Amino acid sequence: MIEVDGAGHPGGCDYSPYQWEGFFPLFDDFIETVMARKGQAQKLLEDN
Amino acid sequence: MEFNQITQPRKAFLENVFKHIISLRHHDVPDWPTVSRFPAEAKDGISVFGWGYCPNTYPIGSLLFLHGFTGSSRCQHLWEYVREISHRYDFAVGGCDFRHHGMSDDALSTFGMAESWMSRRFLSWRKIAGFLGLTFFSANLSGEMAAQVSAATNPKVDAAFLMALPAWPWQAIDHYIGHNLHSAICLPDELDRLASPFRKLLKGAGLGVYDTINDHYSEHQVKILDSGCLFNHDCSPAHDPLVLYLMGSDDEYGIEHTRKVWGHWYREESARLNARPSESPKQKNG
Repeated sequence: MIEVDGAGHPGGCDYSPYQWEGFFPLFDDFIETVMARKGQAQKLLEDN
Repeated sequence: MEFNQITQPRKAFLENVFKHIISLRHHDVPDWPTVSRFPAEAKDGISVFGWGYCPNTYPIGSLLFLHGFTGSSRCQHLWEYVREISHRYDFAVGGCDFRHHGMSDDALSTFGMAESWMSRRFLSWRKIAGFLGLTFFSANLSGEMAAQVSAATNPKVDAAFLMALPAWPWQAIDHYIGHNLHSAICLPDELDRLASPFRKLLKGAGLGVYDTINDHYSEHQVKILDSGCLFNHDCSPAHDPLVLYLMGSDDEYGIEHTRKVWGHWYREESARLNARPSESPKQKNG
């Protein structure tokens, strides 16, 4: 049977913890960048 | 058996393929306080299901998790990450089931475009709740294609975090449907006999599947599969979403691997890491 919710299936939930070790540092940077860009856009709007 | 000897109409055949590959349909949402359900109707009348979690009255952002092909918004391992993201950044978060997945109605998957319609429903939910911003967090195939299209075309989407994105919808179809048909050990007899020519056909040009899906959605989109490809979209000059592409599980989702491969393939084409779709290296179909 095709496994859709376990390790090894490309379309399922194949996210073992080791794959996520670096996730939050990267995601932290990502969110910080998003927020900074939002802040700059808001400031531009206010200035204009 | 040659593919053109299939006795079923193509649409019925394809529906059977989807039904078999996406055989488990999950029906859970997280049991956290304040989780709400928002069943909605996509623009082609398909009933789609989503859920949202908003622990604070005034979150500073929102994030929608989009699942991959054969998955669903019920993925308990990912729920923990989504919840952590919510608490860590004060975000409202949510998930949704694409068509023919989870609790949503059956309809042919389009690997991007029709799936992106769901994100608009989430935006409506977000508007009601007064949220600011939207960051997509998606994984594998349909979710990534949908998030990518939404980020490019919807000015309300500020960012997308994409993991293991296929290059274009028909590559996704070839790889996943073809792969599943080829390798599954418990296919019904009819599909089992057809697996090899089906895969061969898909590898050729996606003919058949490509036309069947496009025909099915012709009322809503001229060629819906093409519309799922980023290169058929571009942001308006005023819309500049941040999109992060991360390579797949074989590379342990490492950004350094992504940088190396990008540099290897595109260094002679003056490719920039931070580029608009129209500035990216043109990809070749096939």
